[in-house]
Amino acid sequence: MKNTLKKLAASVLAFSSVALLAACGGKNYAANNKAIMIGNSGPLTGAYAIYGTGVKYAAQMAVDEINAKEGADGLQFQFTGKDDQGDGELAAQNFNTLYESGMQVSLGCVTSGACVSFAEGGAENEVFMLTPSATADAVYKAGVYQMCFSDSGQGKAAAKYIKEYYKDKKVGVLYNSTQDYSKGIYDNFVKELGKDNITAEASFTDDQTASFDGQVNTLKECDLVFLPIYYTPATTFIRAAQGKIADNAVFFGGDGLDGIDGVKGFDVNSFPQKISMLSHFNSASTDTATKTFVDAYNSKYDPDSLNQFAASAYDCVYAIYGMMKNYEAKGNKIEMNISAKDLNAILTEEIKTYTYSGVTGSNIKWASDKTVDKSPIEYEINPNRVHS
Amino acid sequence: MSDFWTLALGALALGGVYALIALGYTMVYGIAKMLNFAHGDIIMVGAYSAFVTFMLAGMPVWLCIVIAIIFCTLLGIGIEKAAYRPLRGSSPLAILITAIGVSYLMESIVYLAFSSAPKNVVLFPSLQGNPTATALITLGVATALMVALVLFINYTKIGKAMRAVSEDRGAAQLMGINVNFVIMVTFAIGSSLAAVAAVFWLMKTPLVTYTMGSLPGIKAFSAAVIGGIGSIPGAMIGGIIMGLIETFCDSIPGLQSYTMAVEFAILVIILLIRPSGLLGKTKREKV
Repeated sequence: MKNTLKKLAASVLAFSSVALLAACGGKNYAANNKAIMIGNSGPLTGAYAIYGTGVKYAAQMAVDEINAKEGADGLQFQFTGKDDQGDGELAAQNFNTLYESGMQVSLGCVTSGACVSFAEGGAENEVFMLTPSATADAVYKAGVYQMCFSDSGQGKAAAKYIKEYYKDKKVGVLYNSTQDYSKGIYDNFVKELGKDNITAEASFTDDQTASFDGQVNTLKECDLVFLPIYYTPATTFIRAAQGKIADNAVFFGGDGLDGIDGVKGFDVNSFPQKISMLSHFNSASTDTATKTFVDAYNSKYDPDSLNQFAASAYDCVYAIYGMMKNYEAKGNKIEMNISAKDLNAILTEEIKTYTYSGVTGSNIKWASDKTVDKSPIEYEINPNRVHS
Repeated sequence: MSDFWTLALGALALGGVYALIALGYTMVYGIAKMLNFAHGDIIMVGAYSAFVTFMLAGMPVWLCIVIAIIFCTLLGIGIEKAAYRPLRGSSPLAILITAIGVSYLMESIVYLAFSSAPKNVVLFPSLQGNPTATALITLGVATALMVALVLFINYTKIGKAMRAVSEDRGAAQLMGINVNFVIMVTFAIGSSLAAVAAVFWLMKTPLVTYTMGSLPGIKAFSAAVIGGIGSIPGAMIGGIIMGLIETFCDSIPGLQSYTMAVEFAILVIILLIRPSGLLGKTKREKV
């Protein structure tokens, strides 16, 4: 009996010391001493797979390009992307797996909710995180730098953009009052644009997308409708608006509209109104950096998976690389087996003065609250629409 | 036509769609004495049937509608036979839970087969941007179907049997009525009406997702309760009331976020005044 107890005690002790070691962050970074490991978690299966897949491909592409450019003696990277299906619990597990296997720097998560869970581990263990696509305000508050606009930043940016480029339009807004994403953008949009500059407002709730007849009626005088909503209800709204909202009106959305042109049976070009979204990336742009990226991506991967998330991920990898180069330019050397914590200290210092130009914008800077500062562009979703 | 009348007509048409769905709830409750919470998902299956036949197979629209109706009717009969008949006579709670299970089962099967990506199924492209015509067609067909149903229940032999089973199942069985057959016919009629409702739903909101059945389901169920569950004219009146409130609230900017709240508040008020709904039978209890 006593013997068994002793054995039990010993095994508990052994087990806990192993756990303790792990918790202490005794990572074996030497195991990947040939390249710096970048980790990321995103939906590779399930409903949001289109977002995660693009991020994974584009990050891998950036890593391959940098490795080829640097050569074996320079900075080398390796990228590992794990599947979380957009789920927070899986994302937290993915953080642990990645961290245990030696992740030194991270692209955070692809989706907002998952990113907040992922960031808990990242903040605790001081891993540098720069997300390509998680927009929620909770994400930067959880300690993740953003390459995309935050939700509140997006509302402000949209209002500024409308003031500049659509100042003669009668502006209407349709938002989902029960969704944080939509309400967050809406609040900041109204604050920036001013209540007086908005002709009409309409709202709906998550469980009530039966028909948008009433909302369309409220907004029928407007010739620009700002749609900070997801693309699924947007398809219903745009259909209901036909014949009621002017043919030369503009439906202007946030990044939630990304994917609306992929809905089966919803041909964006069959509508006379311009459908566009505030974005930081336009795959049809003739800008050299964008064109090089798009051509390279399309020749390697499925062109359907190319979207602003992918472009943003590509920029994230290059921004991390750029900051490390800046650090080395000051006469320092970054070893491949640097710990996540040390690399975090370097990058957090570098990002304060760092300016990056890539495919999702030029002169990109980061504020002290970890949000990005860059100028948005309007991405036209239906350039080949019917003109009445 | 002025905006007001277009909206009012749209509201009546939406009410007509809710009424068609509510009939399914109310008939099944009246005759089989159970709440079929899987009824809303029949609409979803009808919509997916239209997606497969119309969008993927490219069949003509009339054939797609016929196939959707036949498929939903058979599905309704199948569900009744496989899930509810074995439980006949067991506690109402067991049947209720089974209905919820059947609902999840259907949603999961469709999810696995078609993924969660939303689809748009526009059966009549020429009606897009013409809410008046859509509303008139919906209203016309819904009214015709309801009149036909009332005639069927009142003037056919099987209709008479349905009323008898609803009145007293035991006595009806003693009189030689095949109760199982009557209940099967009830499910078949309810499901085929749901398929028709799915077609009209798509004319209004062509969005197809695997969870699309829950919203019309819950609204139509409320409509059935408002009208008095078990009562066929009640379901129609309840449906129209729901359609009117919904469109009314959606048209007023300050109320748009509270449409559901207003609908259910009115449901509660009606139930407080008339506990068995507007046209429901009040049972006198003698002490």
